[in-house]
Amino acid sequence: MAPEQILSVNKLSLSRQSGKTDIQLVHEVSFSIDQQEIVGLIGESGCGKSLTCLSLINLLPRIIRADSGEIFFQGTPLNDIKSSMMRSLRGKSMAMILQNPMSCFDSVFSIRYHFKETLQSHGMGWSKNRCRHICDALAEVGFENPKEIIDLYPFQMSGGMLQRVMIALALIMKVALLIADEPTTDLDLVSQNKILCLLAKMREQHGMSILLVTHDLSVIARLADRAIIMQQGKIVDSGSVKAIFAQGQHHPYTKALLNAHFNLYGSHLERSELEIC
Amino acid sequence: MTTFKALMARKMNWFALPVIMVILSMAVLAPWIAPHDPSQINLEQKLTSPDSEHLLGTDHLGRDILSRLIWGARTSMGSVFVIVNLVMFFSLLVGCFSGYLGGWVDTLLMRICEIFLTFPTFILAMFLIGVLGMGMGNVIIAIVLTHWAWYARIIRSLTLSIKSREYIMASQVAGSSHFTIFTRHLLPPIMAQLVILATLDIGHMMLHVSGLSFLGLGVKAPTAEWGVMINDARQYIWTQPELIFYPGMMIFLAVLAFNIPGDTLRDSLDPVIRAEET
Repeated sequence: MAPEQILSVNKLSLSRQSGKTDIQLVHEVSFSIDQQEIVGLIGESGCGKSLTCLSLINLLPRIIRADSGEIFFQGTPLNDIKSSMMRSLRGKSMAMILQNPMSCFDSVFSIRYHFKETLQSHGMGWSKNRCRHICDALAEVGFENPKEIIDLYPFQMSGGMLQRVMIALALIMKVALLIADEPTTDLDLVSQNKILCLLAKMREQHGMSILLVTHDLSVIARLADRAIIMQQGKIVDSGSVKAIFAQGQHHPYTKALLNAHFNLYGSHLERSELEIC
Repeated sequence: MTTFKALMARKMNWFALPVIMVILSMAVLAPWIAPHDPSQINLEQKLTSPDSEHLLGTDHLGRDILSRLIWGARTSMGSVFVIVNLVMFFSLLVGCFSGYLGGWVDTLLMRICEIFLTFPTFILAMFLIGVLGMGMGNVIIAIVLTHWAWYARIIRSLTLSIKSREYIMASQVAGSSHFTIFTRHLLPPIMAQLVILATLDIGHMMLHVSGLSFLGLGVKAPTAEWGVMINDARQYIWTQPELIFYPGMMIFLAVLAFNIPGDTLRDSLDPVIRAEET
């Protein structure tokens, strides 16, 4: 099966107007994601990773403007798309996992309601059958008794659990692209491990493409096929994860990142951990 | 039913809800339960002590106090009810639009708000009544016009703070429409705050109505109203202090009783607090 391009971003530039001058935040960023591919986007805080993600789903803050660039999702250009069309893509074809799962759920509503809202937003009703699907999805993301989970309120669950509920939400909608914006940053190591295994499983069993945004190189090392390294709004390095981790010609920032990583974890690519889960 | 149970689980409501029931039934059933005509003047029987005929005595014009208290509930509670609802409606409309849409809509609406905020409320209300003419309807209009801006401001800032929460973003990412986000995630927390604010303000509104009535701008002379009754009894505060005590007590009880369920309603509907208790 020839890999099909799910997403391609072509020379995307974002800027923020402040007074009379424009501040360039993201500068001519281009990349693409193939089907069933995990692409890691890595860079320091404030380098424009999250903004790039937000522009993919057309939810940039009002003060940030897209100056140029094209975004194609499954071959459809997203630049001039109607907002109602965009809305039907969000959640249904592309989902996003946010950094802080604890605050991503409205604490007034149970997990059941959150599923309901997403389903209803895309014109799907509520039925016994649906409820079983949700329980199946919850079981698949590793909950042992989904029937109890579904009636819990967000504040009764841990960050790792909520992050898995987020993934279950993407799973039930059968999204093609999952944007994970620092999905493990706020979690403890055990939960991190679970989430990363889960993301790998989503790719293997459900054919999702994943854009994995992080500033943790070890996450990239474990999961991603390709990595894009951003610094100050520009892509400074990109390539397969093996190539990035291999010794060779790299941008100084990449080298700095790799050095920091190797000092922490040693010089080998730790892929074996994946087998544990 | 669960809401009712939750309300009843709080002992304070065992006091508040019956008081509210009594006051409301006084307002609704006034013509049937009042023993006398509240505006029947009988100068021979003025300032009498309580007896079997007049259970709470009579005022300086010989009118039955109990009947006036019962009819007063109707004017006071009725006007406050209308005022609070109108204020909430307009301020929700303005505040939510302003906060949610932002941009020039926000700027325009907030400048209009500021115009209303610059005037002292009571003076503006008096001016409006001067323009519109006297009467209860105009008192209501004046108080609504002078109070909505405060509420709109608070609602706008609530909207802004809730709008930037991550779960609103998550809901957007999940593909929810603006309508769903607004009605499901924005309105409930705003209403929770607004209900408390409104219940706390009921007493304030009541005093406004009676204050304007005292100046002769609100309720017309024979109509029974708690504020008017206090003002009538002012001259007899040393000789007949109970005259000022009865309507004052009614206002006090009403304000107190309306504050308690407002608070507990919020607490009992909030799943976070509810879970802590169980």
